[in-house]
Amino acid sequence: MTTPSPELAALLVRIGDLAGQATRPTTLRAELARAAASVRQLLDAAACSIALVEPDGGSLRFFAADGAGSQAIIDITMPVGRGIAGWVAMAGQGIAVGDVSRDPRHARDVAEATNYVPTSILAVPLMDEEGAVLGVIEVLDPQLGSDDTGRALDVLGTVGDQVASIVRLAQVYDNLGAALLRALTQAEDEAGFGDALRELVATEGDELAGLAVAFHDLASLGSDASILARRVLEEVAAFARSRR
Amino acid sequence: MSGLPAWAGAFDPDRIETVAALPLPLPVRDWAWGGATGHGVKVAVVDSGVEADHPRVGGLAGAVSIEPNADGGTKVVEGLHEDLVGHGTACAAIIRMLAPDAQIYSVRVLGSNLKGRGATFLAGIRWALDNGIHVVNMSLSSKSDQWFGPLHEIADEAYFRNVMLVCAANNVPGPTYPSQFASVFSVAARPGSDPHAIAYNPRPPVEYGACGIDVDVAWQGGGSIVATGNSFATPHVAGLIAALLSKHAGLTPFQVKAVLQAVADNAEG
Repeated sequence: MTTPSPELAALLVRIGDLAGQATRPTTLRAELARAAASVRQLLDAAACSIALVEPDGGSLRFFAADGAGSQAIIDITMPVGRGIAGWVAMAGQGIAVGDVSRDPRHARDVAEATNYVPTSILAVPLMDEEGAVLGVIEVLDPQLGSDDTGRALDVLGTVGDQVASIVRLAQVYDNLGAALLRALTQAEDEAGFGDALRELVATEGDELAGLAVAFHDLASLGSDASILARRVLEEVAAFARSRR
Repeated sequence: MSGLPAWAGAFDPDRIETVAALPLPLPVRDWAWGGATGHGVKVAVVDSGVEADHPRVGGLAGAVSIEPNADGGTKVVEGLHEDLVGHGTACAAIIRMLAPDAQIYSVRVLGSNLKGRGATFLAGIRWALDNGIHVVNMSLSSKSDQWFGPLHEIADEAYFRNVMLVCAANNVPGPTYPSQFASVFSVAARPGSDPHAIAYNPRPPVEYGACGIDVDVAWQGGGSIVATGNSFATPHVAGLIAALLSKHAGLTPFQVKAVLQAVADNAEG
């Protein structure tokens, strides 16, 4: 391939680096951990965990948690084809189950993962605006009064909607640097880079590819616009770091 | 909380509004399903599979598993299968309780991977339409715009072929399919322990409320658990429709909807 102009190449590397810094997993983990802690307090529960769907679509990875067993469950993966969280992800429906210790397979799986076997579980899916299931938010042993379970599911579903937005946004920025660099490697020249970005619009969806196109357009406006783009990203990165 | 689904709270006993209903013979519940057993009615449970030998399920008339193909399509695998979670078994047992002689079929569409989920949902409904099923229990839903059109089309086809699609509403804000469609029976959980009790929501799209909060349900391994969710209210309505159809064969979806409104706890008179 023909190497793009040094200015463009430098900007792309910088953008990829800053996007990675701004949205690297610790940031998302911190956001989700705060969400899990808030939900646990809201429902006076023993624990709350948030699991995200792995890229292959076959398993859930527990990404953040708060409360009993929270340290042990982080980064544990469970197949989506089994268990209550898996059913919630597959069906796209929230449910609450009590007396889960009467479910021998569930009790065994959970005990092996966390050493904490709950009595009851609330779980709702995290779904993005396009309807993709991003993960599941699960609450263990919430303290609920009689007839409160249905209401708690509605509340958790609403909270899950907000959490899904955080996950979706993080994933968009997380993929931005990689998408830009992939477009760069696929381009034969400056015009080819533009074509590669347009191809991204078709394959990656408007949100991510549109962002990449916007950065490309800024870069093509000259050095002042490149400096502006870089400064905007640096400010975003600084803001994200300050919120950790 | 303003972000709650629009129907949340609509079925609270102290808030529910009275609705005008067709003047069916009294007592309406007796007219609708008094002495009915579900005999001759085929019900499909589109879910995670059904444990056929669970004591509360009492056997299945048939079972298929819809599985994704490598080319993005789906294939139908006939034969009994395990319930991957327990949820399908819970639904089948509720239907059996309300329509003991119904022929229950397990249509497993939830498998081991989220990819192809929309295609397996659709293929599960297609199998039901092509195999003479009268009532389809769907305790699952999609928010995907990609599947809005295909699900809408097949829901309309079901409606015109007198196949009752009974779908769980979702606790997640925003529209979900197919429960959002006028051609289906959209169901949410409401308080109460009477499995025959229904409420009608005068502000759809969620039309019916049924028993689904802290109910004792069958689960995998021959066991049971206490569970809550719209997905457990849905088979209550599916079971009642199966009983109704066994007594009043040939009713159309709009007639069944009118009967369910007339038997509702909040119906006038």
